[in-house]
Amino acid sequence: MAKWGMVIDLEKCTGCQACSTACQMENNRLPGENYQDVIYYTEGRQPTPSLKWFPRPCMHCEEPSCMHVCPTKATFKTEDGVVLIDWNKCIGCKYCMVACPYGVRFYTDEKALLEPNLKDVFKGEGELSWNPPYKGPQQDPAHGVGIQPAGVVSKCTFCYHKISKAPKGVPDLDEDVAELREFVPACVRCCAPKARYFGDLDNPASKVSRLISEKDGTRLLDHTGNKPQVYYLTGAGAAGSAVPSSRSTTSKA
Amino acid sequence: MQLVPYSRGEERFFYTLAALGGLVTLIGLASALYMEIHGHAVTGMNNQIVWGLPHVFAIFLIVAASGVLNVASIGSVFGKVLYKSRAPLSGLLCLAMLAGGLTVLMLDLGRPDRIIVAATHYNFSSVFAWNVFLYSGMFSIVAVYLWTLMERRMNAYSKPAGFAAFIWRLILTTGTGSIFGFLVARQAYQSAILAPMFIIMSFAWGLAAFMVVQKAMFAWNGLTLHPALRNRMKNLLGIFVAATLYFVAVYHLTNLYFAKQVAFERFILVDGGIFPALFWGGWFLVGTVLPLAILYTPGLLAMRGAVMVASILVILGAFCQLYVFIIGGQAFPLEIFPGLAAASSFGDGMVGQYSPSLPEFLLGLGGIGIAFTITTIGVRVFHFLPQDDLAKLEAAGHVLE
Repeated sequence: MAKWGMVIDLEKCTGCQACSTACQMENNRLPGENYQDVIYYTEGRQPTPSLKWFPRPCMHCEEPSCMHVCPTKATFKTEDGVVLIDWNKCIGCKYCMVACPYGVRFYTDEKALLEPNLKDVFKGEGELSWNPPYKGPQQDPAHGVGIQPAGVVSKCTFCYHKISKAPKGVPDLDEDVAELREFVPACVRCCAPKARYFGDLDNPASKVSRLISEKDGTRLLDHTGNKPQVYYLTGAGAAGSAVPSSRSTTSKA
Repeated sequence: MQLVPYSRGEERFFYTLAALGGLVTLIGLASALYMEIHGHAVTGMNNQIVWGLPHVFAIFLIVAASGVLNVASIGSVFGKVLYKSRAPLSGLLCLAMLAGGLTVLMLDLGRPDRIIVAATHYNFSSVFAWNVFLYSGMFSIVAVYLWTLMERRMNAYSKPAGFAAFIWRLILTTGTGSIFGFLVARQAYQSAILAPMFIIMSFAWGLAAFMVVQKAMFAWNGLTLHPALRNRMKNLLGIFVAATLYFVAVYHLTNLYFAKQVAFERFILVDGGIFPALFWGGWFLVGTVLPLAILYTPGLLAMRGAVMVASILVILGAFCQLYVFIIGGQAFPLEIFPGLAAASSFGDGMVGQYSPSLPEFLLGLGGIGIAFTITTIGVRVFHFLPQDDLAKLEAAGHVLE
């Protein structure tokens, strides 16, 4: 069984947010509530501060705090290492949202971040929070895939509706391989500078494993012990692009 | 014992109180329904602050429910005669406040209709799931304990039942504190001291709640608590309030010693807007210093209703403390990039904004309404007004001068 993971090359990432937009469309998200976001931060002091960016999906941790605190086991980990939410079991206690060190979980029924409120324009039917005009064909509440129902928490699924259908045993889901293209997560597939890679972390022959090994892949907030399955390539010696949480810093812009 | 029937005036007063409690409860339920239909959008809560004012009310009621049983424990477990006559009221208050707190907690869930899922799908690595087990167990144990107190044939078992309730509630409050203590993601929490801190807070808040109820019941029945008894109970309250101060001070001083926690402490104690104001003005001054001053200054203590006022101040301070702890703890941004200024379209790097809404307040008030209604009816049905046998107390060594 594969252990799916992602590698994001920060030297290639341009912060264009194509990944965020693709995520929004693929996963029926409301504007501003896409599962993956780009964080901007400032480094250095005046007069030479520099703006940096950092794409952040769910880390699909090996030891996910969100899963451990979930009282009903609604948050669970699949055999192939993906952390998902069973919307049929979620009681909306939001403990997972307080427990996640990365802040990548979303509750429904929030105030609209943009006007007009699309939930009023495209009203949801039944339990569904809204009825997006661009909705995908999939609705799999047991794996937290589809339009988010009311009163539950949601998060990035690594596009589980795609990757779960991938042929078994492939080391990577590479969009450059025509027969695998349909199984590649939306954010990886739409990344214009090809800064994202998706593959089997347990397979030493996979591209993600080699990149992590050869380019010293690092993880965000590694000290929490959650062991994220999303790795960042920071470029050896390129101090300005290292993962900020994994190196020392003395300045605050 | 011959029970004296209630007078017409007493009957009318009881029904008025019960109706008032019922009305507040209904308003709380209506607010919950309103929020259930419209979601977080009509509350102050959002994706950054997911636990709001209802949680403040719920946690207060649950923690105080555990502490209010302390009165019974002192009688049953530690054999103090003065507290034995108060054990039934203490047990009833415990059940009533627990019911109120849990109702608020349940109605604040995104899917309260799935409570059966919470009861049937336990994740034993979740402190929350443990608490579901602990809360339901508390109901059962306190109900049995009350039975041993009320049923003469079962009186012999009241001590072991009281001991079981004592142990269970210590575990229960440990569990409530651990809901926060086990959260590694937030700087406000992730501390082992939270479990004992919640226990000592429960002692103070529970005893304060008990003193308020006892005073009200005595006043409505034209009774006065003997000054010697009042002094013993107010001294105990003072010790618990001082102990809470000690634990809160240790919690913050420990944090201040860790460089990585200094920014958070500064936010809570100095420049976090409403949070330092509530911490220093609400909890420290109103909820700690003033009650201690009242309880230990003879001139202030001699004033009419001084202990009642001190108890109410302790309760107000508790609400301020929980507001700072629960909402302030979530408002401080996650430190994803320590030492750097971060921003995103999802509120990263920004202090979480929260303005409590009326429906949230009314839901919380509804929890108090439930506790009030259960207590009012329970006290009347079971005749739980504490009756002090002064001769017996003197025989037990109490100096009633």
